[in-house]
Amino acid sequence: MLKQRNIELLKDYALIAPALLILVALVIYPILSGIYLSFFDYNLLRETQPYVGIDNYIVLLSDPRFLKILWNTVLFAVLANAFSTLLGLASALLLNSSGRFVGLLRALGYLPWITPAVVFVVIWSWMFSGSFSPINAVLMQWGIIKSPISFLGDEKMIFLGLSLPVWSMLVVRIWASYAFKMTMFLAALQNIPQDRIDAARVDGANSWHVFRYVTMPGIMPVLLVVVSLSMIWNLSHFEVNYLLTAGGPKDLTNVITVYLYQLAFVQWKFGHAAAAGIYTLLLASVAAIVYLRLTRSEER
Amino acid sequence: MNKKPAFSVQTVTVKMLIWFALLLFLIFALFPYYWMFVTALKPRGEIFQSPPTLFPSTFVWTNLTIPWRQFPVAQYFANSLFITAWTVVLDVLVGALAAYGMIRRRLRGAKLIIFFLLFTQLLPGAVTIAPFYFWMKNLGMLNTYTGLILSYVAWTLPFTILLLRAYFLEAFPQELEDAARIDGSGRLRTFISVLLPISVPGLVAAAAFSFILAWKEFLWASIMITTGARKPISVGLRDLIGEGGGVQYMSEFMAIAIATTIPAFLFFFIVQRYIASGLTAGAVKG
Repeated sequence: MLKQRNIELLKDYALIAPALLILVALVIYPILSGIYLSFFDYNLLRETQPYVGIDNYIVLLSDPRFLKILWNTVLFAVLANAFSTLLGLASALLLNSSGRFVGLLRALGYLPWITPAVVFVVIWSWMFSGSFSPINAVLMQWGIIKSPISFLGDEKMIFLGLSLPVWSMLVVRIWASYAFKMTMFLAALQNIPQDRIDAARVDGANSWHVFRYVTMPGIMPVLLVVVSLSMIWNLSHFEVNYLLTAGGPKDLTNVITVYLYQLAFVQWKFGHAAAAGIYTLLLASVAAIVYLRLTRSEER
Repeated sequence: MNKKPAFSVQTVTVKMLIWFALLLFLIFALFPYYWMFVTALKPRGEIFQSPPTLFPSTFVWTNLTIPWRQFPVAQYFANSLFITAWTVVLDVLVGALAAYGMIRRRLRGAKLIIFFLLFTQLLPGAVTIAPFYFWMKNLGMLNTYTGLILSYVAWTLPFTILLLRAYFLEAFPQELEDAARIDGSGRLRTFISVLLPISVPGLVAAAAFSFILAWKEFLWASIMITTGARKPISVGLRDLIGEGGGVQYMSEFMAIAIATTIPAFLFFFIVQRYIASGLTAGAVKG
């Protein structure tokens, strides 16, 4: 006869089972079949789908275009993450007070996070479109420029080593991701006890000292987690790059996920797409390991 | 408290700098929404004026309703609502049951399951679109909602389980459950009548996150749902612009964009106090 304790244990597993089943069927299985798929020259436009070993991986890595896209992926991830973290932190500090007005501003600050990418990307591309851009209208009115700038097309304009389309893409990526960080930082700021700040003030600390020695240490754990989590998301980011430029002009804004989408659903090369997917996975794993280390060390 | 005089030059300068920074931030954050409203409400002839007017000459409020007759917008909204509602219900239901199964210290393999959840939570969704597409094709689930809803549930489940488990553990120590069982109430009754009511903030936060994912997701919806009448709003909206970035229906697009943004904003405005606590409990503590 089963012991009472074992029956309870079985009941626990029964409660967890549906969740595990869904995760295995829709997350784990696609990854395993992706690994399998990546060993075949699977092309929907052909009759046969031969086994090619690791050829897909080699073909990708020896393609200068793919290497360029890989570099873009890392570049966008690092810069978008850094700038949106700074903006998220700054906006959280600015909005870290009480009052009805601030509450409304905070809710408005969430907006980019809950707006579908399809919506905000079209708004931004409309704002970036040469002739109809309000940015151009203002710049021309102020006499800074003579004719409209094509924010997403003019690859010859270069600032600090990056072309204008890259900067424009970065602006949208930052806009799309600061809100989540702001929310996280606001939550962390509100967990810092007010009496610690008051105590520092009584001891003669100025605003910078309070920020440096009370505020920063207070939000540091959240900051580290947010940055590493956001790194995973940024390395595998798809929507903004795909919807805004589809990787153009001349692959300047192309990233690995957009490329693998194009491999699969434009060229129908599913084997190559699967291999590119595994590369993305490896790239994101580096950030994932950092994230797991941080959260685990925090538990202790 | 503040020893400095209230009107010193230094404090006034700092205050002005702070207000200036806030203003810049608000312009950056909110101008796209202003532009969405203005583009939707401009008169026909003014939309394609170059350079554009920063403030419309008149507001044409009927612009907001016209696209609803021109395109199957109501249908898209109904589809999105259906997908979102099922995602939220399944996510919270399956997630809460799993979290309940994981709160007891004696559970063998709990650590392994938690690691598995963290692992699946961190896997980027875009990585598996190629094999996922095949999987759904082989199951005959293309152009059905079942596959899409279950995928969304799979995306949000790890977060939901970890978040609710944190709530359950905090709100319901071991001794309480033992006591409840001795009293003769069954496990399911304990769950429904004791655990769920005290975890309402966690449940709301979990629901809000799966709501927002299902409401705005584009990539998987766009490869799975290709039949016009079945498309959710994110995919349907995209059709108005097309891959080439056509501007013909810009005004109509913005009108529908307003209609998609406002419900989500109101929903979030109401539940926002749960969001922050939920985020820190679920995402950070893991």
